[in-house]
Amino acid sequence: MMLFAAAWPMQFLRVDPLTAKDFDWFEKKYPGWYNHYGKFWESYATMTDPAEGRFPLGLFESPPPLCRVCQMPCVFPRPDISTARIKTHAGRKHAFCSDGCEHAFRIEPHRYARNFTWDEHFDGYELGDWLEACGLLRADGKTLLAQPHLKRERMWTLDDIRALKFEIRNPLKNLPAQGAVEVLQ
Amino acid sequence: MTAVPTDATPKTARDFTYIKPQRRRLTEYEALTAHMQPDHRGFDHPRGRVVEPEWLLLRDDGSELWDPASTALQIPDWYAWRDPSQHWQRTYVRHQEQQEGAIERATEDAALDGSLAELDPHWVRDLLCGHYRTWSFFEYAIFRALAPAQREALSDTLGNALCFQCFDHLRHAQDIVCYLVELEHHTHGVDDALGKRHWLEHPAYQPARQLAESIMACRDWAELMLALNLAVGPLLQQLAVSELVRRAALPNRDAVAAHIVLTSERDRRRNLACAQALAGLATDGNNPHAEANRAQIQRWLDDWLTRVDAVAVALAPAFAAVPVPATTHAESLSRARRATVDMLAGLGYTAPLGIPP
Repeated sequence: MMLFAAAWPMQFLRVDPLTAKDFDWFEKKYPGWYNHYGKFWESYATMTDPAEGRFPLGLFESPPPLCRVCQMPCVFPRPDISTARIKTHAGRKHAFCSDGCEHAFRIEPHRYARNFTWDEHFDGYELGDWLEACGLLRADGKTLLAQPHLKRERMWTLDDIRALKFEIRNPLKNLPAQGAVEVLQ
Repeated sequence: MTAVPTDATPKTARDFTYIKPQRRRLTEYEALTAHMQPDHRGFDHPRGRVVEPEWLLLRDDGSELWDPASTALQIPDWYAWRDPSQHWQRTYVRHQEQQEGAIERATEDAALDGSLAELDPHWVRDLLCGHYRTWSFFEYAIFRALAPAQREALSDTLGNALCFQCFDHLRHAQDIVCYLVELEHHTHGVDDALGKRHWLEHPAYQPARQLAESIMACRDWAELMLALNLAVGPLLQQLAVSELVRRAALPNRDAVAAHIVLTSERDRRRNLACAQALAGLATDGNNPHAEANRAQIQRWLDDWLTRVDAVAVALAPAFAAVPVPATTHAESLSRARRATVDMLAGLGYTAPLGIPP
């Protein structure tokens, strides 16, 4: 959910910032929650206003790569202790989020031969260009379909996004591979 | 993607702007049918096609989920095809339910007023069991052939229409069997094994069996759609079912058999319109492959019609089995050939049937 929220312009669902009541509820249900997740949600709340000119994913030095098999970001079970691994096969680099996904690939690698993740596709795109190319805008031609909050009065527009100067990058390009995939015959 | 969702048009957010309507307004059929299939060629790519399309997963043999090589026809946008009857699941099922209900009531009434018991046992045994029943095997072969064809069809609009046609044939196959089961309660002429014996052994049906096998062996789904509706339907099924059974049914006092055939003819007309729409799209002036497609369709028609005609010629013994004949094999064959030639001439094709258009 944090990654969904952090990459909100690319999402089809809208995540409203948490309130003080939500923070209390999480801490009570899951003691220690705040130490892990509190800071992120506090800063997310400050970044929902376009006037702030910030976007959570833009603060990451390098976003996690996307898994070749399940297409989810390699952040499981938790970003700081993820089971991600990068392997090569047939001249390409592949990220896998888990043993399970790597196993699926090892059984039939040929079925992924023309599979490209979202960030491999759009590597080098300016975020606003990508949103415009995909038509992810409302009927006025400038307000984004995606929004980081549920408020109606001040919604993000293409101009707000362009001001971020955010470029989509494929993190897999610069990550070192840890050997080749051992294909199961 | 053909629509331009970013234009500041007064459309509401719930309009399906990614479907290009054939006429001015999007119909219910189009909204429920078009772009349901997760095919990147249909819609999963940004406007302007800035990225190379790809598949998340390939088939086990390495081919794509939908393969343009699945047919020899070339159409840049398969999603532009529309079913002329505008059927979607509910309208199709409702329509067939009405046809089935009508058959059921006609059978029930004929049983109650005694007309089933009055049927000539020779009509029941020789014609219905010996010949009409045989075509249920043929209909089943078409049903089986259309099932994989609908999987391979290169757009959801085409796939749905093939799926509906597929069930038309199963319906007809089962209607024949159901009617014979009902007749067993009223007459002594029913011999259900006879139809199968004829299908497997009778010399008149061996060309038909061979044709059924070549229909099931046809791997080009568009060829199948055109061959079934432009050659097999109008020439062979017209002769073997409409001319043989429907035309002779009333002189032999069998209103129910005539009614069953009438409903299958209604399906056949609908499917013919679908095939005509496909041929029209393939040879549309805006299609750069129009001429190649026209030549390909003509080659298919030449090939299929030659084989279908041979099957039709072999059916002469079936006409001799009618107790009170309404027509002869030669007359019926020439009527069916003439109608086929005229229908194809209307589409701009010739038929190798020895009749000038």
